[in-house]
Parts: sequence; C-alpha cells; structure tokens
Amino acid sequence: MTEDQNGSNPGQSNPGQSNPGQHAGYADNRVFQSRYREVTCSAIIFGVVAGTVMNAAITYAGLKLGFTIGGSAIAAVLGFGVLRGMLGRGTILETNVAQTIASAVNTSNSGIIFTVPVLFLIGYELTITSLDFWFITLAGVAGAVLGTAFIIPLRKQMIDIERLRFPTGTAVASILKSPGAGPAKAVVLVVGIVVGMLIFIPTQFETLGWGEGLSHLPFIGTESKPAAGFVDDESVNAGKLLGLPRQFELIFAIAPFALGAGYLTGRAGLYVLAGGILAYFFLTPVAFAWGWMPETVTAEQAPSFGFGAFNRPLGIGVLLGGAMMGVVFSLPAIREALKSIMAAGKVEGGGEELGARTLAISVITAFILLFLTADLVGNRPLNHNCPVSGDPIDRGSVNIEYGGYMIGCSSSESAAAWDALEGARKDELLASLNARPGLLAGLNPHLRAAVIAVVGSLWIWLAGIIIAQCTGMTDWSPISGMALLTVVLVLALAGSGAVVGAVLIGAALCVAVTLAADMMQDMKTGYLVGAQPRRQQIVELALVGIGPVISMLTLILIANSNIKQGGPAFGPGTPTTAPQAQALEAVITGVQGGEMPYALYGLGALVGALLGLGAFPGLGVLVGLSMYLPFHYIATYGIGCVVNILISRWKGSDWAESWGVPFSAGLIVGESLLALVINMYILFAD
Amino acid sequence: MRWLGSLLIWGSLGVGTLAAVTAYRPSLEAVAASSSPLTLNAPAGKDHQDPTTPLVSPDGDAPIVLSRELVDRLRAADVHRVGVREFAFSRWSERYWFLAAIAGLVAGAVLMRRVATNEAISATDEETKRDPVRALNQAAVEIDALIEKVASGSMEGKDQLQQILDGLDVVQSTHFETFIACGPQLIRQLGLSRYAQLMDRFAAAQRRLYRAWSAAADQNEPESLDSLRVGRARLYEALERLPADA
Repeated sequence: MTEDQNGSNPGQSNPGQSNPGQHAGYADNRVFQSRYREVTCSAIIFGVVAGTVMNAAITYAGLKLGFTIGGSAIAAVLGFGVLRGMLGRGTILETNVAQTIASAVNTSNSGIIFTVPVLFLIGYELTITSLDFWFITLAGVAGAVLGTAFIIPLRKQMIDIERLRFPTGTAVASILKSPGAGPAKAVVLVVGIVVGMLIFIPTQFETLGWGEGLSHLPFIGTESKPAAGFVDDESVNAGKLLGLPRQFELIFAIAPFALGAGYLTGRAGLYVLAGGILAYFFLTPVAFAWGWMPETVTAEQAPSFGFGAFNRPLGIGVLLGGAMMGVVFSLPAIREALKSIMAAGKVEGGGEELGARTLAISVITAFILLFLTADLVGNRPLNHNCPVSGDPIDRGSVNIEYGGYMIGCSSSESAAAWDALEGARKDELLASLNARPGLLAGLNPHLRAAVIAVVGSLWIWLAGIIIAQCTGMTDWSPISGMALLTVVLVLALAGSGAVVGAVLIGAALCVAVTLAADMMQDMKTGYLVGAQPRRQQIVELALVGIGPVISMLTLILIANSNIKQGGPAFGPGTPTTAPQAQALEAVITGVQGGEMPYALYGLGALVGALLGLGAFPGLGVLVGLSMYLPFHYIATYGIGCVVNILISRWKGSDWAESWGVPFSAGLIVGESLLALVINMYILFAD
Repeated sequence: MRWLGSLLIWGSLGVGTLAAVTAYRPSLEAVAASSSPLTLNAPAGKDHQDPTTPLVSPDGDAPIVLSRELVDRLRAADVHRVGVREFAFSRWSERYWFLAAIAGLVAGAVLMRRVATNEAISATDEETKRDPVRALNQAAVEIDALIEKVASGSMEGKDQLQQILDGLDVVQSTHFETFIACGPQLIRQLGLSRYAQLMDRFAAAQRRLYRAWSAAADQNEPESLDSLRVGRARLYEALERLPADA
C-alpha cells in the first residue's frame, strides 16, 4: 500500500486520540503542501549556479590531479550560507533540495574526465564544432538520465529496507540538521570542519606554492633529507618508519574525508580493511617472495606491480561477483520496492515516489539518445585516408562495411577497387589500425549499434546498483573500474578499433554510475531530514543533464588552451595530465594488444559470488572494493572504523553516534570545502 | 562453528586469490609442454639482482613469442615461471588449489548460514529476544503523548517546538533503533518479502517523523504537527503488518 491510498482529511483528525484505524487514514500529499519551503526558485537557482561553478572547478582539478571530490557536503554548507544566511529564509528541506541539485550538476565531471581525454591521448581530434564532441556530450546526458532513472526504483530497497549507511549522505544530513541539533553539536561540526582543514592543508602546500611541500617542513625533514622518506606530500609511510620490508606497503593517506567516512561506516568498514590487508599484505608480498613477479620489479615497486597485474583485475572481479550475488539475494526486497513504486504511480496526483511511467519515459528517451549516438559514431569510417587512393576521407566518401567496420573510400572507383582486393589485404588495413573484428561483426551496422546500446543500458543498470551498494556500505565508488570494464565490453562487442564508440558508452556509463551513487546519497540525506523523495527525484531528473554539458565544455576549453600553448591537449607535458584517462589508455592499448587478463576477472567474480553466499551478502563487494582501491586510502579509512568501534565500547554507541557523526561530517566537509577553494585558486592562477 | 566458518571463508579466500595470481604465470615446464605458442609478458622468477639487465629485451611493441630456444635460455637462467598473455585451465598449475578454495568457500558459507539460523532460533528465547512489537508500540505511545501535549497548546510556541525536537530524538534513538536492530530476526520470521512490506511502512513513518523534526527546527509548528500525525498513522500501519508474536 502506498502512502496516499487513504483519503481522509488531516484536519478532521483529533490529535489527542490514538486510534490506529483513524490514524491510518491520512493522505500524505495533503500534508506535503507548499507551506513548508522545499522546492523553491531560490533553491533551484542556487543549486544550478553552485553546481556549475563546482563542476568547472573540479573538472579542471580532476584533469590535473586525477581525482575529484563530491559536491553534496560543500553545497550543503554553501546552501546554508546563501539560503539561510544571506536570503534569511532557507529551511532544512530547501537547503536539501539546493544541495541535491548542486551535487547532481557537479557530479558528472568524474564520468567525463575519466574517459573522454583518452581520445586526445590516442590521437583523436575533438573540437567544439566536431560532431563527435556533441555525440559524446549527448551520450553523457543520456547516461545522466539513465543512471538517475535506473536507481530511483531501488531507493526503497537500499534505504528503507536494507538501510545502507551512505556515509556522505548521513554526514550531509548532519550538517543540514545542525540548526535544530543544538549549539553543542553545531560547535562539534565546526570543530570537525576546522580539524579537517588543518589536517588537509599541509598536503596542499606545494600546490599552493607555499614552499616545497609537507616533506620539506623543518620539523619533518630537511632540504637534503626530506622527511627521511617516510612522509611525502600526501601520505605517511608507516611501513618505512617501522622498518617493514619494502614490499609491504603500510601507508596512510593524509585524508580527513577517508577518516570521517571510515568513522561513519563503523564496524562494516573492517571488512574493507581486511580486503586491503589480503591484497597488500598477503598476495603482493607472497607473489614477490615466491618469484611470481618479473625480475625487473624491485621490492619497492612490488605493491604497484601487484596492483596492476593481479590485485586490480581480481578485485574488480570479486566486486562484480559479490554485487551480482547481492542483487540475487535482494530480489524479494527489490520486487516489493518495485511493487510499491508501481502502486504509487496509480495514485491520483502521484505518491511520494516518482511513478513507474515517468521513469520508463526517461529510460526510453535516454536509451534512444544512446542508440542514436552509438549508431552515428559507430558507423563512420574507421580510416582517415582512402586505402586505395590515399586521399583524405571526407563527407562525400563511399563507405563499405568490412569486418564490422566502415571503411571509407574517396570515390566509387576506389570503393570498387577495395571490393576487389583479397581478404588478406583488407585484414592488413584493419591490423594497421589495431582493429580486430568484434563479436557482433556479422550483424547489420544499425542492429549492432542497437545491441550495443541495449547491452550498454543493461550494464549501466547493473553498474549503477554496484556503485550505489559500494557507496551505501563504504562511501567508495569504484568508477574507474566500471569504466575499464565498459570499455573492454564495448571493444569486445564492436571490435578493438571502435575506440570512439567505446569511449562514448564508457562516458555515458561513468556519468550514469556517478549520478546513481550521488542520487542515493542525496536520497539518504533526504530520508534523514524528512524530504519527500518524489520532489528530490523530479528536480534531479530534470536538471541532471546540465552536468555533462558543463564538464565537456570545460574539458574542450582546457584542451584548446593547452594546444594554443603549443603542447598536446592533455597528458604529459601539459598542466592537465589526466591520470585516470592515461590508465584507460593503457587498458585500450591492452585490449588492442591482447593483453587483458580476462581470466582474473572471471576467477575473481567466482570468488566474490561465493563470498556473498555466507551470512553477509555484501562481503564480496567490500573485499573486492578494497583489493581494487589504493591501500593508503583504505588504511586511513580503517583508522576511522577502528576509532568508531573503540569509542562505541568506551562511551557507548549513543555517544559515538551523537557526537562522532557531526565531527566526522565536519572532517568530510573540511577537506571538501578546502579542496574546492584550492581548485578554484588553481583554475584562476593558471 | 562461527569461528570455523570464518576461518574457512577467509582461509579459502586467501588460498583462492593466491592461486588465481598464478593464472597467467605458468611454470616453464607447462610452457614447454604447451601445444599452442604463448606470448611472453615478462620473465619472472629468477631473482631481483640486476633490474637493469632483464633476461629478455622486447623489440619495440612486437610481442615476444616463447620459442623453444627462449624457454631453454630462461631455464638456464634458473627462471621457474613466466608471465604470459594467454590463459588455459589445463596449463594452470595451481588450479587444484583454486578449486579447493572454492569448495572451502562453499563449505564456509554453508556453515555461516547454519550459524546464523541457529543464532536466530536461539534469539527467540524470551529472555534474550529483542521485542520489535514492544519497541514500535512504545514509540507509538510516546508519539501519541507528544502530539497530545503539543496540540493541547499548554506551552509557549518555542517550548512546544523544543518538546517535539527532544521527544523525537528520544523515539528515534531508543525505540526505533531497537526495532531496526531486530532486522535479522524479523527477516527470519517473516521472510524477506513480508519484511520489505513492513519496512516500507516503517520507513514511511520514520521519514515523516524526521520531517516533523526538521519543521520543528525551522520553527514551522503546523507542518511539524501535521507530519507528527502522519508519521504516527504510518507507524500504526507498520504495527498492523507486524505479527503480534514477532
């Protein structure tokens, strides 16, 4: 039953009575009227403006540093300042809507910057006037809508039924609720923010141009011997300090957000720590000691070699298998959640949840957009010059399909000559373009694009669930791992030469999954402050398409600026090295060169699925996630988990919750806020 | 039993993943016996004495095929394993370890499920059982009392709102927490589908009460009171879905 199927008027109720039958008769929509400010023009305008500014700043910083920051906590704090402080009328729920919009507009940046720059790195040209630019942008928009629409039906299952923690969502709710939580908790929140900033700022000294970095500070190191090698600008190498062999990587990131997220996760986070220990303190040292690594790998290099060669592929596999098993175990709850949403759609005026029809329309529209872009990109010539005449290929060229690719010929005569060539000669051309036929090579080109769009959409749905589960349990979202799998999947289907198509679907997926995770974080915040889910869902779905456009425009602006200065668009030799895109480039060249360790993904998936068979279905997800993430963040995160457990034992779980949550929220906000300020500084200074 | 189950799962996980690491690193004997040509990723195993002079130097991007001569040369250099690009189950020398680990994971999962079932059964012992019905009933009674107190208009506006904030804090942190902690017990008793239906109503109630709290913090008394009433109604709906003997 939904919340609106009973139609009595709340005004007719006698508030003093507690007759269950009578209370059950309230119609929720009558109470969710506009007298309590929730979705307002100020909230929408603030959300869009704040989200746009954060998106541009974080896109730039992400291309430079290789990671991005979430926008919810920042937007919540800024929203309070603007809506409540400056305009003097913002309510908790209005600020919640503002942060929902701001983070939706901001969040897509990681999806774009982890994928699109790879096209520049492998030699493609992308300008604002090129069709590919707009196709990829549209794919990003389609991904944003798909990711949001796909995850909405799972809100009930993940938040209401499974009651996943969503640490950032909980932290943001703690910020939003601070006005009513009493002055003492507000002070604790502010202290947390200040402490977070104080911990984080030393890691940014070099970026800000304040000296040579943390490791050169006089009380830590000297100019000739900075920090004796155990402190660098972002981490503390406790392993070196303790004299552990070099292949044991006991490093703690100086990252207050990881500390705060670990605290908010609590005991469940210990499984994450256990997975990290398995990968970095068992598999890597044993593989090194038993001679399973190349002879050129030194003890110091063993952790990073182990990460790339087996920990990452195994971890992604375990994560995937664990998540799929989690979905299987949750099927009854998912079915009930879907039934509840279907029923909500039948209620006049809509229920508390966005109805199935709206979601279906959104999904179909986004799918069509994805199919059209995949079709248009996938069915353009693979080659830049005619294989017969050598002339450049232009719009008037004749395209002939071969091996699942379109081969452009400069004229019909050239096309006839190409047709007459032997298969071996044609294969030579494909080989020279690193283009092996894919699994769908035998299909009609449009059908192939449709199949890729269907598989891409299904994969977006599954990946969205995986990412939402990961963020729900731990706050970590393995986006780059999902991007990697997507690109591998599309290249396997369409062929190793279909790089633009793979990046296009990869970008759509990355945008989708980041937004799926963000949506669920925002819905968790909304739950904790009592927001109506439907309203949050509508504003997010309506405005989510802005983000990919902002990210793509910022990206192309930076690329043009780098090219104007005489360098490449991205990568080494530019201020924006795009580290994540470089990793993806390695994957694409790996697929083209036949170097992908597919078996490790499969073996990992089997192990992950079986881990989920036990008493705790999420175990595979937690272990896989930590094998795949760099250990220094896991280690700091683990400290947060352990501190939570110790405080709960010492002072009781109520105390740990009441005071620890606002402080941890402060740590997350402190780092995010300062990182945004520094990103803006970098943007304008450059 | 729990201890044994955990040991089996974590031990099997360690053995299984360690065995998986060797999937692309067959022994030179297996490479020599392979009928299909293998491509070298990087030689492995000798020692780490001189990283500047690898045994095999790649020629540009060209793949290095493991010819018989190369295998012999690696053997002579005391190399035991090599990294290759191709995987074959039959060539994977640690496959039996992996299969044993899979069996261990299955056995561990079965054990842990048994332990969980036994613990849930023992939790039905009246002395140790958390009582979800009682927790929800008490929450409903306290909310009723809160609504009555606030609606009677006996207090100043600010005091009324503070009363709502304090009252809801207590309900959320005590009775609701107790009810939520009963989740595993309720899933065993009701099954996941009925548990989901129950939590659907409970969550609707809890969200309404959070809304009442937010409205009170925003000094919006009418909204807060309305939300309290709707939240209470949802709570009774949740109680209706909860069997009395749960």
